[in-house]
Amino acid sequence: MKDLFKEAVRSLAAHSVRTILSGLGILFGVAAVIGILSIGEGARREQEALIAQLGILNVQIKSAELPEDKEERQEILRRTSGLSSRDIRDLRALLPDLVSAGGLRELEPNTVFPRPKDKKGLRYLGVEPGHLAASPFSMVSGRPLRQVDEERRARVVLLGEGAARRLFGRELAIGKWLRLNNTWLKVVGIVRTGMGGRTELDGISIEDRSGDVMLPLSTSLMVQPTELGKADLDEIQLQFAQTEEIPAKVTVIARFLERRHREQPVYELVVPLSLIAQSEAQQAIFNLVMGLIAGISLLVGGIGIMNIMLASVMERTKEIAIRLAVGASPKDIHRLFVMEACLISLLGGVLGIFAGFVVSWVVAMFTGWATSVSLQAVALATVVSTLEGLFFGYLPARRAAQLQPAMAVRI
Amino acid sequence: MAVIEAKGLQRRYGGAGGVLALAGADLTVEAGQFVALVGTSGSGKSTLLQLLGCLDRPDGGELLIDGLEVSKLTDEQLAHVRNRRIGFVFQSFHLLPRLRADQNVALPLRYGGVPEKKRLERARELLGKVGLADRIHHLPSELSGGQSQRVAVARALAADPPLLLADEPTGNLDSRSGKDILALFQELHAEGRTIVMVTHDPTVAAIADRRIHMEDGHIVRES
Repeated sequence: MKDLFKEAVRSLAAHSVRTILSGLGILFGVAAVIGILSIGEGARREQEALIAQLGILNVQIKSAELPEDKEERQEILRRTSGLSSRDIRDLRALLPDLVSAGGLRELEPNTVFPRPKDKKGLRYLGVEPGHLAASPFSMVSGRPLRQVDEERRARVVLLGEGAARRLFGRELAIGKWLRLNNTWLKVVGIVRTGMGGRTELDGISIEDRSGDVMLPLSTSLMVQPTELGKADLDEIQLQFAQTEEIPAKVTVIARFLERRHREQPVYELVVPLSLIAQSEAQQAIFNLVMGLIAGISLLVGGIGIMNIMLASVMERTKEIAIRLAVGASPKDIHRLFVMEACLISLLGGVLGIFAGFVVSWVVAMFTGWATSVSLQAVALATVVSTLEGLFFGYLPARRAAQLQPAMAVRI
Repeated sequence: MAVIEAKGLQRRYGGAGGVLALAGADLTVEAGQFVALVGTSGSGKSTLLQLLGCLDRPDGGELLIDGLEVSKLTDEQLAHVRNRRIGFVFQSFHLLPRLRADQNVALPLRYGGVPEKKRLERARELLGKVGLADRIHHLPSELSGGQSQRVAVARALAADPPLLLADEPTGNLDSRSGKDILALFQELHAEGRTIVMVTHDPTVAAIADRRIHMEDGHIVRES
């Protein structure tokens, strides 16, 4: 085996350029395979993250930015005042099997005390328990906001971990007081968000909610009343029990909102489930194209190797006859050529794995898709290229092994 | 004991209607004999040598090499016979150009399953014997014709086979180198090796114990 390996390497090294060129097809094929698998893997992780962040069972209705133009804006505002608690009430009536529903509004308090070390990423939100329930938070300590807090306009606040750190540093935040404008609020709980600092996944912007400062919606109206010409709510979040019912319900919701807001573009409907379906469809097209490239490259690459090996057998008739004459058996000759074919193909495979890393990196750069080259992908590529060598090396090797030692005398 | 026993050996080229290159040759060579096969080109002497060397199969007749009937063996078995029982020296040396002298000499041992270190040791020993101790690591392209042929002889001796065959070993050499090679064969003969050599040169044939003359595929006489 060692002898065979050395002999194969020696004869391939004698034609190094030819060897590399004949491995090129395999290189492209393997690179494409690695690309597909790494992008697929990246997409899978992204989706997991997306689900963790937005919630696969949720549907969000967000207030849209109103147009800059003053007249256009007034035209819209004459017909609708945007998302409001009335929408939630009516949606609940329309969809009795909702698990939860609630609104959220963002505040911009003029003064905050204690003063945060870094304002970036901090958001001040009035949230209803129904909204909070559907958000992928986990309690770190304390308690969440409750319905009673909402009803009594309790002066309590829930902090994201990042917000707690920025407002109270290393001190324990629970039980401390926070002043927004003229209202003092007691910190009752700390939450952790689904994922770390990522703000964009698959082109979908996702708020980093670690910096959220959340108080009951009713309390938030005391802190800062709704501005004139602004919607009551910035977001409504609905949660369903099962994914299967979402597509049908989304149609109902869309129709309801259209009627309610008189077809004015004051909201957008975000359905994580269909975002995922959409990105899956994109992936499928990409996979199909890359799969075709991979398949064709591997096939053409294999045939290329076979072709080179056949030429090599012709060219090396003398060598083969000499080996046979000194006692190499047809099996030995067969093995030598199969080994050479495998080495070419494996070389192409290894270079292809590197090219695959580059491909997935470039794809990640240009599309913003996350990519991840897995060990399984590398193993698969290695196995595929070895098998390819075995398969396409067989015919040339058989031809070489069929040569007769008597050729040696005549040459 | 007979190293070669051939009875009615036939070889036909180009199918049933083809040329009968060897038309029933009977030949017995005892151990230790030096036999020259002589004849004009086309007389069948090279064909006979190929059959004796198990490079080719007879179409008819029997052939025993070192007591083993070889005409009915499979390709794999025949390879084994070539490897262990026969050393072949060709007219144009037939060294593998990318192997060093010692690696060329060790080639039969590689197919005989001898480990690399051991076979290179043996190769060095044999190269010393043929007077090339200082050319062990040279490539064939760095050797003269005479030196190349001596490497080829060392290769033929590598597996210490009972039978040594040579096809016009001096044919591609200048007369001086040719004489050296013949002297080497004489030396091997003196050691008791069995040698069959094809030649058309009477002076070469003169050093053999027996001269087998061939014409038109027949053994016509012996001198």
